[in-house]
Amino acid sequence: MRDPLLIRPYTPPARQGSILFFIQDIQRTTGISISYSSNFLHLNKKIQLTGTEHTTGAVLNTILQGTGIQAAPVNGKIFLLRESSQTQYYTISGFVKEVNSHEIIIGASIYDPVTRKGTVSNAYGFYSLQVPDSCNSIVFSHIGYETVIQALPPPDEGQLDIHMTARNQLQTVIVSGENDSVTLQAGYINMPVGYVSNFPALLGEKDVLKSLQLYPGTGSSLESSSNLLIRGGGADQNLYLLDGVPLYHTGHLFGLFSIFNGDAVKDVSLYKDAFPARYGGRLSSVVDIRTKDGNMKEWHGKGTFSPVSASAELEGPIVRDKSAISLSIRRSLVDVLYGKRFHDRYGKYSLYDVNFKLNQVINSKNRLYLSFYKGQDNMFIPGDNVILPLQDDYKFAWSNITTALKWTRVINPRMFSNTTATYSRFYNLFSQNSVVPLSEIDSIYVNGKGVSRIRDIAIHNETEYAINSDHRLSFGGGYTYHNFAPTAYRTNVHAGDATQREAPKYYMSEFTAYAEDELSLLNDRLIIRPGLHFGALAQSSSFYPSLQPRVMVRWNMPHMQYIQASFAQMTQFLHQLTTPVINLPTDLWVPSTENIKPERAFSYSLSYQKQWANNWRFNANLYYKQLQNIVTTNTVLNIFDNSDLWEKKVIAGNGYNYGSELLLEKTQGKFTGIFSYTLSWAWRKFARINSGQMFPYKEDRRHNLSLAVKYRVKPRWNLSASWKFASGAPFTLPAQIFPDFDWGRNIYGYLDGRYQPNGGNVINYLPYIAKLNNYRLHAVHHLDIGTTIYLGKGNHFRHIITGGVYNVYSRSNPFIVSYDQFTLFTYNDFYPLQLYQYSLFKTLPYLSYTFKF
Amino acid sequence: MKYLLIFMCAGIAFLMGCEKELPVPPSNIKPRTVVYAELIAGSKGEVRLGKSKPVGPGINNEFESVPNAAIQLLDKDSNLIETLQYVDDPNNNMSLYRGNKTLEGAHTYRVRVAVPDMKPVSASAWVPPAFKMDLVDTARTMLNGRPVLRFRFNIQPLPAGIRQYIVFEALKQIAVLDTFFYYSGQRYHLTENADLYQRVKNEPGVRLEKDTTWENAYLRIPCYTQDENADNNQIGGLNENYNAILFTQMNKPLNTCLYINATALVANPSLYIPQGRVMVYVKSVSKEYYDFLLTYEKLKRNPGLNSLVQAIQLRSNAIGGLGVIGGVNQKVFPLYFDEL
Repeated sequence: MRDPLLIRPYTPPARQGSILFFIQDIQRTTGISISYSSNFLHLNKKIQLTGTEHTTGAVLNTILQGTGIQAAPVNGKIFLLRESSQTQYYTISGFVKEVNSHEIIIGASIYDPVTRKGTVSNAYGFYSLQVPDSCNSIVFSHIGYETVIQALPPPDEGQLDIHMTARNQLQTVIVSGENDSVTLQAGYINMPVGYVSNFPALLGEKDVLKSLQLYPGTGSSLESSSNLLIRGGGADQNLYLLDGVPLYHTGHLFGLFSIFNGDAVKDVSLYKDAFPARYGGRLSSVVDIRTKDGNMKEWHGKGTFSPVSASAELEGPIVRDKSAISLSIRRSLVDVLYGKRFHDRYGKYSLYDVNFKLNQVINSKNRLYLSFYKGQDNMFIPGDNVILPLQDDYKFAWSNITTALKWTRVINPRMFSNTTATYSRFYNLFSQNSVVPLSEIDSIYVNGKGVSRIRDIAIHNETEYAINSDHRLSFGGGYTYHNFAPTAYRTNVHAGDATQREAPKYYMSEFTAYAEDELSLLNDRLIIRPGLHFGALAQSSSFYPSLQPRVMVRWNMPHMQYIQASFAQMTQFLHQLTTPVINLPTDLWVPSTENIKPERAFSYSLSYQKQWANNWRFNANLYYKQLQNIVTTNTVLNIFDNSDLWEKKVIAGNGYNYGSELLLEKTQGKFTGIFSYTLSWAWRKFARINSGQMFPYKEDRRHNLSLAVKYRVKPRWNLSASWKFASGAPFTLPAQIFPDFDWGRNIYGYLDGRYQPNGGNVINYLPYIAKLNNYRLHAVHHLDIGTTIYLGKGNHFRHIITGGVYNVYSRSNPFIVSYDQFTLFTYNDFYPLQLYQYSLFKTLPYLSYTFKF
Repeated sequence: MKYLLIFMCAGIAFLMGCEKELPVPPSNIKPRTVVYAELIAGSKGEVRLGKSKPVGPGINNEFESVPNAAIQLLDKDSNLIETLQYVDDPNNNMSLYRGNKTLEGAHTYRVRVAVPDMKPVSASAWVPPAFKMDLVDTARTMLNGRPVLRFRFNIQPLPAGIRQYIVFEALKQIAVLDTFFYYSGQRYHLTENADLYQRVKNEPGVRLEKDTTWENAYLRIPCYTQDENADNNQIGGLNENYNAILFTQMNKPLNTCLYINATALVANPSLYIPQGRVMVYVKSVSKEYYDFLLTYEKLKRNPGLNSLVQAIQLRSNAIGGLGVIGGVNQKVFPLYFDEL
């Protein structure tokens, strides 16, 4: 520091500025030439001087502090040279966004092309990466976007936000913010909504959950149901999160369509195993659905019409680059298009969904999201309908409301956190009007109303901390207040001697905390991710804590291959009590109580994945899952009856699911497609059912196969086809029938309010059931074809016509199979006994029109 | 309500017109002998026999009678008490066999059934001892808008440590009112000889008389309970109706109210309620019989054998066959509401 060049008097013009600013000012003010390499000097780094620096050397000393670089005067010049120590690292961070709409991009890879070390943008598009000062550039890549190579050091100070362009130019033009490629790793799928519209859909309604069913390990209980079943688990074992808000009922029209409006959804992530520690509360999977953030640049909208539904979407900036909204509305049209006479004869049904999101940028480090969803189903069935006359008129109305306020914050370039406050409500109203005859001249009019309700209020935080490029930490926790009123019923009828029972209500607190460490070892060949999730359910009569270890180990091999093994323990504090296999709003959610313990799952998986440069991907999985304390009922629950004490009807048992999955997928090019195959077993064992012996679970399917292809004939014309196959579901067929106990003793008669399904007949036989689920229904398979045509290139208004045919070869797939019931309306005492299969859909064409601006 | 949703699904399928008969897979299993017996203390042994039908192609719900069985009633050490005799009555839906010996409470009996070409069936049943009970009061009242008849019972437990299984049920035995007249020393049914009656009705000694014949047919009367200790809680809600109300009792007296539907008490042709007498049963039964009745209640509540619901498996103690052989000690309260 004694060199004259370094003791030259110099007073900086400001105490704050970038390294580059001070270097340039020294050169300009003192005339001293300073030589440096931008390769290892982060010129845009902001510096705060102490105010005591009054020489060139003192200023340089301060601004170079901690950089590993020192100022060396040589031949009248000052050289900024790296110290003798090893390579220095600095952190770059920012958001990855879509170029047109500024929608954030999840799952983009950010890496140093030389060392291949990198990271992935998180659910909010944020990344943080430590790079060596010798690094000239970093690569931003995503399967759905053009790769961006960013020169280093970054040109601007502060965050390095990257804007990526969708690969499919056509979609970039027409559907800003949408791409159509899936990110897939062992046990994890991230699917953008653009992908959902790739393949044919029932009635043209694009459905994110049905699209997930193309992948191995997933299935549905019935043909074309959105009821998602993962690796032999029940529909209740999936944690559905809509913008972070848990949902309990996800079906419209008995699960035929999911409540997730394809227009509003940005992407969906499915975790089948290797669960990150931040998730908990369900046994089989996590389905994390995120809605669109809204276009920050310009207003766009679209409307879609089909013979059964209409939907509209509007998104755009309130303040450009500062705040944006997204609003989507969907409504069924069956009740609008058909008149009163139709409704009187057949009943009335309608559904709608509203999704709204406000996205507010506070500053480059802070952002707020406010999202809202409401979905509603209404159904009315007149007693004198012509399909199946009933004794009563029935009304059903069920709805979901969710609200989330999310605050994301870049605490520092290495640390990112999001804090979310949520509200979720499920409300199911049932009403019944009936006239019950008491005598020739007397009858009572019964008007009953039943309500089943769930309310959750929650707050939780997730924080990610990149310690260095090989070591990442995430941690957080949350609190949920549950308020369940599963069965509440009131009626106009005077109770008389009946005991007035209060509807049961449950007030519970659920606590969660988690920590997870992700380590890259052996030059990134070995990735280890241990984690621990803690959950606890507290209520006045019970307290259930649960520590759930998770671990994932991945061994990366040459040629884009890896092997992954994982273990996860999951605990589910809430139980769904249901008898039917269809997704009914009357399925009853109840908590763990003093008598009913939480359900637990121990999941093991082993996976292999290989990717080829031409974007073929192959994935194979083996899994084994043991379930404990899972509950079932062996009777029919009547939830609209306060006296139906559900705890007395619950049986706890175990389950064993195992299988293997294969996937071959072509992700890019004119021709893309998926081939997936699952071989699986799912068993259940309950002490008082099937003589305590294991029996196939109702959702056990031996083979599941999906083949879906899309061919881009022209840039503006796609053809697609999909074929799905699932082995038959198990069904209990009696081994024998024998005389009914009452009938055998000449005892006849109906119990009041309990009419037989087959009309006037008294069933005179009982079934002898040797084994449960001993018979297999017919396999379910159907071929669907579709096409999409884009019109209006270059115009402000653009048009999309989508059409197709569901179940091309008119396969009769089993929807309900019954032995004797439902079918026979005979007054003969004796009649043939037969198996009857009812199918829902034969060949069904669809057509929809969409306009966009 | 529970059925409604399933009906709606079926309705949708009907609407779509996609119904198809499926072939039932052939079966190579053999029919079994079906045995139903309530061995009632103080009564003669009665056993009803039938044959099951293996589920396969081309079967119907008609069951053949079994008049050629050999049925033995044995004591607990397998000593023969008597052989039951076939009762030839075409009105019986199943073949009835009856003994002559009166059964006793607190005894175990064995039943052995041999039907030609069928696997033999055996079962044992403990007939509970007499139990002490009081009918505290009865009242007509309303229960959830329905007229009901309420019985308040007090039932004492069996000696300490012995579980008692209590079953309440109510049946209406159907009666046929026969009107007849005598003429020239002969008895004539009025309905069959209306012309003759018109001609001779004014002659001395000719007058109409009425007689009541009890049919071998019963109408089941729905029962209710509001007692949370009833095992019907394992089956359904307490506002629902049941074939029988079931209790497991040990050590403590059982004070409970049984409600039976009062609509069926009085004959009402428009509601298909025949004339007859109402019999309210309070039974103490063997455990195996109780287990059967619990599963039977569940099964009767289940809306059929279809793929939307889980099938219910009936419990049975008939080794080698199907059905149930139960021991019963009962008290019966006959009630007459119809003019007979």
